[in-house]
Amino acid sequence: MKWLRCLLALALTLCLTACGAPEKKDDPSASGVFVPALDKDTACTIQVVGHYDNFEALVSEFNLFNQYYPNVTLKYVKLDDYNKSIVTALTGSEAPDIFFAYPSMVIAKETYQGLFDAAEDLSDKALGIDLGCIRPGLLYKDEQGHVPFVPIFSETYGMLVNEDLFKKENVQIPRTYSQLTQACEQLQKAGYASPMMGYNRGTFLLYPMLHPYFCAQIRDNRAALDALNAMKPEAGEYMRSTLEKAVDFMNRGFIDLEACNTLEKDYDPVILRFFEGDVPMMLAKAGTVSGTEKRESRSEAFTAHPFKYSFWPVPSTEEGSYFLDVISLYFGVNRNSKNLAMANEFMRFLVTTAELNRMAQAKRMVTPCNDMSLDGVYAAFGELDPSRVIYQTELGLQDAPDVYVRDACWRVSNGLVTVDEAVAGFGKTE
Amino acid sequence: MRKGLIILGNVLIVLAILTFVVLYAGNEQRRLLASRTDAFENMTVAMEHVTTNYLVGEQRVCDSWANHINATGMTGQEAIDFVRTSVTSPSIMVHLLYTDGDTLAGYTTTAASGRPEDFTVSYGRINLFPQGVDAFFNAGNTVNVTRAYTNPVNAVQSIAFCRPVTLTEADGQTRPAVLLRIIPVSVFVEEWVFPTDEYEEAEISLLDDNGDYIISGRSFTNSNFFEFYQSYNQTAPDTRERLHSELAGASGSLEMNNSRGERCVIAHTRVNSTDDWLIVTLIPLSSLGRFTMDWHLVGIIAGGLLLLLLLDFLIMLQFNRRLKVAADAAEQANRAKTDFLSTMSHDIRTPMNAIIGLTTIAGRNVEDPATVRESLHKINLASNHLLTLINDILDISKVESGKLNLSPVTFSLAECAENLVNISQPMVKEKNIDFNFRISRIEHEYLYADQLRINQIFINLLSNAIKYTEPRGRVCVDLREEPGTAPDRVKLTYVVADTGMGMSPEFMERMYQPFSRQTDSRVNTIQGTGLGLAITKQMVDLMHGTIDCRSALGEGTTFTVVLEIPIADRKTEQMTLPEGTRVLIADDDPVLLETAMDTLQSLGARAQAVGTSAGAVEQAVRAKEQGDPFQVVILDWKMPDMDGIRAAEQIRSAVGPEVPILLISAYDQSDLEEAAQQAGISGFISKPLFRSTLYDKISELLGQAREHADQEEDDTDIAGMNILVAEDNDINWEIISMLLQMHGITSERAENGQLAVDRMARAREGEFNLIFMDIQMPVLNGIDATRAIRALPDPRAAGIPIIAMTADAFSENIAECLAAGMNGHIAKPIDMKLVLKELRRIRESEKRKEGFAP
Repeated sequence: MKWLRCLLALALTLCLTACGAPEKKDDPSASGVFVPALDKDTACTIQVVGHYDNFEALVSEFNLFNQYYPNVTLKYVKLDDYNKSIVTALTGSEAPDIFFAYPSMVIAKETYQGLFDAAEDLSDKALGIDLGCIRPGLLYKDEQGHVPFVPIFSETYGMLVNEDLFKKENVQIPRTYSQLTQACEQLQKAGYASPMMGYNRGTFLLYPMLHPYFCAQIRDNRAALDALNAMKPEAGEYMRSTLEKAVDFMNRGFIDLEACNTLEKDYDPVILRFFEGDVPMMLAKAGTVSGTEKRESRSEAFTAHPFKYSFWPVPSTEEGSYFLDVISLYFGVNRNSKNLAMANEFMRFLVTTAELNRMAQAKRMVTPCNDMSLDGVYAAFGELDPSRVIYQTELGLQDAPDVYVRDACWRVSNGLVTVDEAVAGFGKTE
Repeated sequence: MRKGLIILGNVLIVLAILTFVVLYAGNEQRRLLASRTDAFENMTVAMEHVTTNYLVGEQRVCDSWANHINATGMTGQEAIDFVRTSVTSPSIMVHLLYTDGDTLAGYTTTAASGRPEDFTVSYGRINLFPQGVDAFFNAGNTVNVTRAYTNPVNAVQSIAFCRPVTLTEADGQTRPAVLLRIIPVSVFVEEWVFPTDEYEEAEISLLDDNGDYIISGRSFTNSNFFEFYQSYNQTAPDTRERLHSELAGASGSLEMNNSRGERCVIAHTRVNSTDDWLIVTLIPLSSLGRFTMDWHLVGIIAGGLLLLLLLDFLIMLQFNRRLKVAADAAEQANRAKTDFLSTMSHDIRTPMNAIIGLTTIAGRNVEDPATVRESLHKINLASNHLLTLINDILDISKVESGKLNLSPVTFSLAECAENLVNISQPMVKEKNIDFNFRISRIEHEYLYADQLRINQIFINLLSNAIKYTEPRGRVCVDLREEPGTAPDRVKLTYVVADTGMGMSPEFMERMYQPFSRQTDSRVNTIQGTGLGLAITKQMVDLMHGTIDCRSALGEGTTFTVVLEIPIADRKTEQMTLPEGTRVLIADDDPVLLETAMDTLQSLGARAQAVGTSAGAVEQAVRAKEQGDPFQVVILDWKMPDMDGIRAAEQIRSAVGPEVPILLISAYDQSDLEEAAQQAGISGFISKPLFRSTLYDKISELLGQAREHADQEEDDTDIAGMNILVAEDNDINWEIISMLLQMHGITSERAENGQLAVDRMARAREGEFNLIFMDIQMPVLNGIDATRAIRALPDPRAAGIPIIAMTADAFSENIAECLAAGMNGHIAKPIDMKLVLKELRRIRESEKRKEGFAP
């Protein structure tokens, strides 16, 4: 009677297929993470404003949140001239419920006091937001211990590595500075005129290698930091080793500046050039890496000849690389929101390891969570020893010295000034 | 065909039907979806008209202000004051921006929040005119409206209707500027909805030529429609170009996934008033198509078909099971047939061997009459056994083929019992068996049933009892009547008990199976077919009766048959003795005495019963002395104290010769006749004592009874009869004519039915007394010939008695003969006793007719 059993099974399958309910995908409640605290039938609109042109990762979270609150309309809106308009918007007639904030806004608190004034204290226990899932080094607290903004993404610097190319040329991906120079030599011999490339407009070029290196030099030197922040001219000496590293690397001829100058922006052109497949290493920031996945299909070269790639910290010492952990984006809740309870509920839903990691993976950014279940492309960062991680928030380097160091590195790298000139110029120009 | 192939075929048919249903439904869905998509596209085009009208209307307001400013040569301040007074809605703002500087800056009708006195505005960080202001206005569009942007004054997402103006400075110089009539997107969107509920899930967006949203619906994520498409759909490097090319063409639609992974229909059409703008509408495919595919219906059809298939299979299995049973039965039947033929071959050959062998012996000893007589006697016995065997075979084959039908007729239970006694007497006498036949409470002598089959049942059981009882053994038959389940039925119980050899329990388990005979050295000497009990059981079952057997080896056997039989409509003729007739009856059997007393009293007699012969003598004497003598005395022959003949002698000597004395015989009185005559016995009366038996005998003695003489040996009553015999077979004709001749009866032959009809048609009145009609004859068979004779115009010829004389011996054959108009049936081979009986019956009937004749 096997046929009979098969027949019944087929009938049952057909009946279930015909009558069954659609499967609920990605249900966070299945793991018990999120339990709605408000009436599920609540109907309102939550508007998140920011300056991203596109934010698919957030839209995905909207969709997931709608599984719990189907009548809540969530919308992301890009504001023009965000840094300026957000303060106005927060007190306007169509004030957003949730808004973007950036480390620069935190540093320049006076300028953005309106943001701080409008921001809900997300550390309020009553809100139930799990801030414990965030790496402590990334969490900003004001003088009262309030948390006006929650980190959503972390930024870092490194290099995109064409793994297939390294494999093809039988070159090991470098983990130390000497391995880096050695790899570059091998690749040059293999015919790659510029083993490393990077965006050379806007003072970037070697920033992914030199900036973490510079931060590492001063992170335990309070006096140096104070002097640098105070823009004392003698503090320029703290830059010297970094600048000499730039000169040393550039003098080896591993970067073809002319080729780098063809990259007009540090986003699409950088990605698409890397996807051409003949660049072994492309200096970039995580923000740029976030655009790689979407652009794979837009690159004819990559579509025709796809290859495996990943994002690595740039080795700047013989002990290895540094992971400079920089906040990329904060979310704040407008305490004047017409739907404040639902805005806080959305933040409670979002600020969990699962959702922040999910969003970081979708955006291909670095998660701010303790559990760094990094996107595969960032795997190399996860392998670093915690001692090699530098939290910029904890470092306390202010914008002015930071900008100067960055500019000096770029100028030295491009041969526009000498190391001495750059050191001497610190604190003397605005 | 193999079962697997049938199942596969069924499954394929079901799958084919389901495929057809799904394909058909899918096709219908596509057709309806296409229709709905067309309607949605049309709705989108309609929305374009609404949008155009709205945009043109707003643009006209902007243009009128600009025209007035240009015409009146206002300064910037004057112009802004003018439009401030012209704005009627608080949600609408106007900006006046100089376009000759590095950045767009100018005046606003509404001060920024927190700066109530500041009516200046700058668009320095808002790229409102990416191609430049001149390019914006030189596009030649009727409506000049910006993308949705963040109003720098209130940070509200807005669109702006633009018109270039020329402002006059205080020094008289003119400066180019642009007037922006700014409307919050939220205000626009409120009015910009689909007019019907049918598309409540539809959303609408306004795009510029680059795919950037001017206004975007909720589901249109990303900042650009192409980005939106590329984010959630499979793309290729040229996707953007292809999409752009498609949207730049005529109105139409395409499908794509939205951010939820839902399949959506995107309808698009150009906004005529702005050339490079597009209206793009989105609706989930499920919303357009949800009503078309009824998956429940498909599911029900699938379930129904599978159920049907399942049912089909179950029925097929059931049929297969039945077929297997039938095949097994057929195989068993075939085996049984082989066994049957084998047994038959043996059982028929045995008497045939005797007949042939003895015939040879007789032929060779023609000169020795003793040997010839002995051989003929044995041939007769073997022939009778062979006839019984053949009859039994025919019966059992009829029963087993299910073709045995009952042919009920009205019959006399008394005659039936008499027949039983007569048949059994020769063997009873031969084996000197103590035979006793008792009846009890027989109220209804005429019953309506298949007499032939009832006789068969009774005879089979009785003959078995006699056969298997040792000489000087005892066989008792009890026949009693009880009320049936309905008033018109009686329950007849027939019990045959013997003191024979009995049966083993093992044999009793299979005794009703054909050809079953007990394996016993004593049995082997007794002739039997082994069919009798099987036939009896089948007959009883057929009559819905029961048969029960109790037996023990060496102790005897008792068979009890219970049949429920309808009472015949024919009433027992009025039997009443002269009132007060004094009857004395003596028997040592109290049951017989009780039954006889009931019967006599019901006949109107004053009866008295005694259990001894001496008692009978005493009662007879006393009655005589009291002056109320018995008019009839009935004595049992076998009485313990004194036999009936001696008792009769004493009564005769005591009360004189007048009183008639009847002797209850032990069924065969021939041995007693001489002694009885000497003792003054008036006559014999045989057991069992039926009502009619008692009435007839007593009436006869009292001089009012019918005349009943034993005429078996006297042929004078039938001698001289002339019979027409319709018989095609020469030997059969010879036998019947010779046998009839032996009894002084003449006969004439007709070789077939037609000749018989013709002969009767020309027969003289009274030329033939009756016709013996064979059934299976050439030209015209006996049945049709009978019908033809009955249809003759001469009523005497047509009314002649016709007796079937045929080898077709089944009850349905008899019924057919009677139905055709015949008066009786005699089976071949001919039993001359039956023939003579029939002839006497007809002769008596003729006499009665003659007596009544005028």
